[in-house]
Formats: sequence, C-alpha cells, structure tokens
Amino acid sequence: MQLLALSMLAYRPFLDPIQIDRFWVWFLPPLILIIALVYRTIKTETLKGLPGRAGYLAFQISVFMVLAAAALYLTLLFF
Amino acid sequence: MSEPPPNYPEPEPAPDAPPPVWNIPAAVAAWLIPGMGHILAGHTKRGTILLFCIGGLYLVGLLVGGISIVHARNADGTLRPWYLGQSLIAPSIAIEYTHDKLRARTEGADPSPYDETIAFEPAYGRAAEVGTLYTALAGLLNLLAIIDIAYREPRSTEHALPFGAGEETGAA
Repeated sequence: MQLLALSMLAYRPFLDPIQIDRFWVWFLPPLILIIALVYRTIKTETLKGLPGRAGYLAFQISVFMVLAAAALYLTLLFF
Repeated sequence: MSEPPPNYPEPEPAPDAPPPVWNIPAAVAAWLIPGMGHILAGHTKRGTILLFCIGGLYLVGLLVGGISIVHARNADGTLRPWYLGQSLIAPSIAIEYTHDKLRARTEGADPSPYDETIAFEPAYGRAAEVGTLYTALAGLLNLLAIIDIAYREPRSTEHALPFGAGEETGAA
C-alpha cells in the first residue's frame, strides 16, 4: 500500500501509464457500453429510449463475444 | 456486358429527388473535436452524447497509456496501423508531434522509470494494450460520427440545413 502511494506521488497524468495489469478486464465492459451508445446515438431516428436500446445492443455484443470466445476455445481444444 | 435492346426505356432519375448535401465544415469540426459537428449543425443532444462518449473514451485511453501510445511509426520505421484509427481524432496529430519532440529530447537517457530526467514513461503490457485500444476505437467511432454529419439523407429537412437548427429527429 505504501509502495502504491509512493508510486502515485511520482505519477504524471498523460505522461506516465497507469499500471492496470491486475484489473484490466474491468476496462472492457465500459468499452462495449460506449460503442453501443455511440452507434445507437448515430443510427436511431429519435433519441427516445436511447439507454434501453444501447443497453440491449451492449448485451448483444457481450453475448456474441462470449460465444465467439467459446467457439475459439473449443476449436483450440478439439482441433 | 451486353447492350440493352434498342426499345428498352432508359431509366430516368426521379424529378423531385434533391441532390445529396455534403456538410464538410461540420465534418471537419467533428474531426477536430468529437461531437462538435453535430452540435454546430444543431443536433445538440446527439453531439453532446458523442462528445462525452468518444471524447471520454479517448481521454481515458490516453490517461491509462500515456502519450507514448500515440505514435505513427514503430521503432523499425514501419507504419503503426493503430495510428490510423487514432488519427481520426485530430488532437492525436498534436499528441504524436509532442511525443516525438519529447522522445527526441530524452534520447540517450536511461529509459528506467527511476530516471527523473526522462520526459515520459513508455507504456508496456496491459496499459499499452488498453490505452491503444481505447484511443483507436475512439477514432473509429469518431469516423462514424464524421460520416453521419457529413452526409445526410436528401429528403430529411434536418440534413438539408448545413448549420441549421434542426429537430433531434433525423438520422443518417
């Protein structure tokens, strides 16, 4: 903890990277959500119900990515 | 391709079809600042959402990876494909220029993070991956926004106005 605090003292935003090796996977769900939100913002006729539509698209993307990962895993496992 | 028969009627364009409208100034504004094209064209809500989403994605990527993730060429001089995505947001060009200047200034210095004279710390591992992914995807999403604002459906009243105040009802 002290080491982390010391390293943060020397941190310079936008010049030094943030060490995210332990929790990098938490950066993926917001990415999916923002992609869905931007796509729906551009493509929908009206902005009514935008959060719901974007959420549904984010869910579809997530399901597809999980299925694609499973298919790749099975491919590597059996072939 | 064979020639059509002589008595085949030539297709004529619809008489009431207006020519497509290209909104170049708004597209340039969208390239400079994500969402700004939509805001200037009167689509304030749409532009604000794009500004926060694309701009936020880009800034978070830059914060995670630092400026070292924005560079046009690899160490061996080959073009870095991720930069094509990153350059779809104009500030990337300024950041790449700054990165080059800082790198040239610190050339020959000890690349370890303990060297206080180094201008920036290069990103490696997950920080470089996530930062590059975020900034490049922000650029690609901005390309969608640029295309959306640059070309509008001819029949849409909202799209026919280059910088007019349109309703938030039109879509590409």
